[in-house]
Amino acid sequence: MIDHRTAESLMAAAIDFPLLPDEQVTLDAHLASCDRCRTVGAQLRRHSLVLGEMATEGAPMRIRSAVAAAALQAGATNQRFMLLLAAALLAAAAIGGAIVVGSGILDLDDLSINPDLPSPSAASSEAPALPPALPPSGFAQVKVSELSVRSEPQASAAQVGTLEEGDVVSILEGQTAADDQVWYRVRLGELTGWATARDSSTEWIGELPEPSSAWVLRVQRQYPTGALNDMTVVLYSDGRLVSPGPSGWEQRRLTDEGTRLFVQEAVRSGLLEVDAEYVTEPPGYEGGYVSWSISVVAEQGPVMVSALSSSDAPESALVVALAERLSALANELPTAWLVDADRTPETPEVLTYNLVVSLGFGALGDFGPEDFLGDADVDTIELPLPTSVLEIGDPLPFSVKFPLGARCASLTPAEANALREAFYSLGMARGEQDVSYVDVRLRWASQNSTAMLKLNAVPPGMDSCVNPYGGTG
Amino acid sequence: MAGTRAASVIAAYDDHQRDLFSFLLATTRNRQVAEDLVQETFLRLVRETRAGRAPDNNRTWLFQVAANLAASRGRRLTVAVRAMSRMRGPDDAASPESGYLKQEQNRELDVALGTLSLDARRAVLLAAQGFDGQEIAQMIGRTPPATRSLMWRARLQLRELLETTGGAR
Repeated sequence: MIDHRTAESLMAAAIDFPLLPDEQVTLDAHLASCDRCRTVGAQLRRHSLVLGEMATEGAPMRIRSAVAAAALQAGATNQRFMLLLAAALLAAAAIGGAIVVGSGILDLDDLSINPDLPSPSAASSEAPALPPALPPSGFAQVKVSELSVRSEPQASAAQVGTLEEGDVVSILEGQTAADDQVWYRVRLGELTGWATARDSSTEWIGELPEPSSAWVLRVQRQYPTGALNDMTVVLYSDGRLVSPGPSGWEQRRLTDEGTRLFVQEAVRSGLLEVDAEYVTEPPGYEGGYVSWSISVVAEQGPVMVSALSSSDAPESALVVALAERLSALANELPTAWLVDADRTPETPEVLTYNLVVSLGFGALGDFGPEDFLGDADVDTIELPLPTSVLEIGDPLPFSVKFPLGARCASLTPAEANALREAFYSLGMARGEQDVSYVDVRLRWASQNSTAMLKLNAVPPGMDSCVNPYGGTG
Repeated sequence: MAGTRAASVIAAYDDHQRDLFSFLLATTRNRQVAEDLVQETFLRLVRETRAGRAPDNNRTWLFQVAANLAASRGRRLTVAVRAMSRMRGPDDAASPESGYLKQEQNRELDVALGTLSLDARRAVLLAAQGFDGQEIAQMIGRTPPATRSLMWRARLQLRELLETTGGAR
């Protein structure tokens, strides 16, 4: 015969584990003559059931957003940073502060490339015969340490700039023989002019090397505090994007245009695959989740690239998000990529920027198609669409204009008020429904083209449909 | 990540987040930690899926990861700074079944669970999620006999508390 305590332990154990035959027999014998233990057994089983019926609670919505963003690799997967960025952006817009645009807060002007690494080959040492002309509208690479760019194809013409070894230039005209030299009219960013192709023994401007095993990007981000965070990443031809660590490689500083050329060339040569990404968990960052992704954004026309660096894992993480729609763009090559080859840089071009804000309303789990990486993903992901997506930026009651090359633009107080009011009226119109996501994009347009840059996915703090900026509504 | 794989992760999230978050809340007894861990759990699922190692049974896998994160979190308390406010989803709203009585019952259970060790608590809460003893033993990395012992002691301890306080009726 077993005692009460043993009987209780067996009854408790029986909830989770089948009892051994012996145990069951002895327990049954005890229970047959023990009302008290039968009562205890009933209590134990009831408590077990009650535990299973505890009120449950869903995780906050932002966690779903973060998981979905990671799963979809829609831009940066460092959700916390993205959310912070979004919050900062919205806050800045709301208070009439600076909206920092694409290559501003996410400083991509300092994205530099050297397309011929790690194999150090490019320059040919033997004197070439007169090489075939480089194709107009193509790209070439500077093979000497310094190369003057002049206003005319003459050695005596005014020097308008200097190219450096490794610079990738577009060929606008050439080859032209003048002044005992062969000249090309080239362009690198804002710099346009004539450069000599070779001297008697050495090629100075040559063909872009064949796609090698890797491209190297040096990405630099300037924080609001002024601190710089930079990192070198290597994009391999199989699409991996990795950090090579400390590197003695000479880096080239390129402008936005150079960045475009890089992406253009990378896609054209098949280096850049759709949704290239590399996910790693660096040593010493246990539990962390670091991801780089690279893709290209453009509705049409010029490619806009951006980079995000992680703020909460500065020791290791740099999230490069060169935007969306790579697969669509790849199909449009090459014409769609040569939009502004004949732009006259001497005339500052004024682009019109619109802040496009979409709000999604609806139940938990609603995501707008804009939240996904590309059309292919939208097609294959079966999620309920939001009950409604309202776009207030199209047309937004104002537009922000600033010259090409400007890093940021400020909303006037009136513009900020207009934005606030638009938010507020939307919120009021939707009554009690929560804002499930907010989508902020910049659309810019010039004579030649328009393009769109997504600035964030889901900002935090939108916990009701009152004025999201905390006013008294 | 292919859209279908991403979709499978999101579907797994929608299927299991509520149970998983509730489990983590009750186990860790800390909302902030539970939020961090539920996110980390699903991010690991993202990684596994991307690496072509999608679990056979998402639910078991998710609870195993969550249970282990909850335990290891006890050893290394690293709570990220919350620089952003929370987003309140409709899911957080009061549901019909979460009335006063339910809340009161939850509170008493919560107090009782709080007296258990973290190991015992997560085992009992895994059982509440429908896992049997063998599964729980595997999930928490103990032998079945050790798990059985852990759990019957925990259940007796809970009974004493709940019956003396008159709760859990």
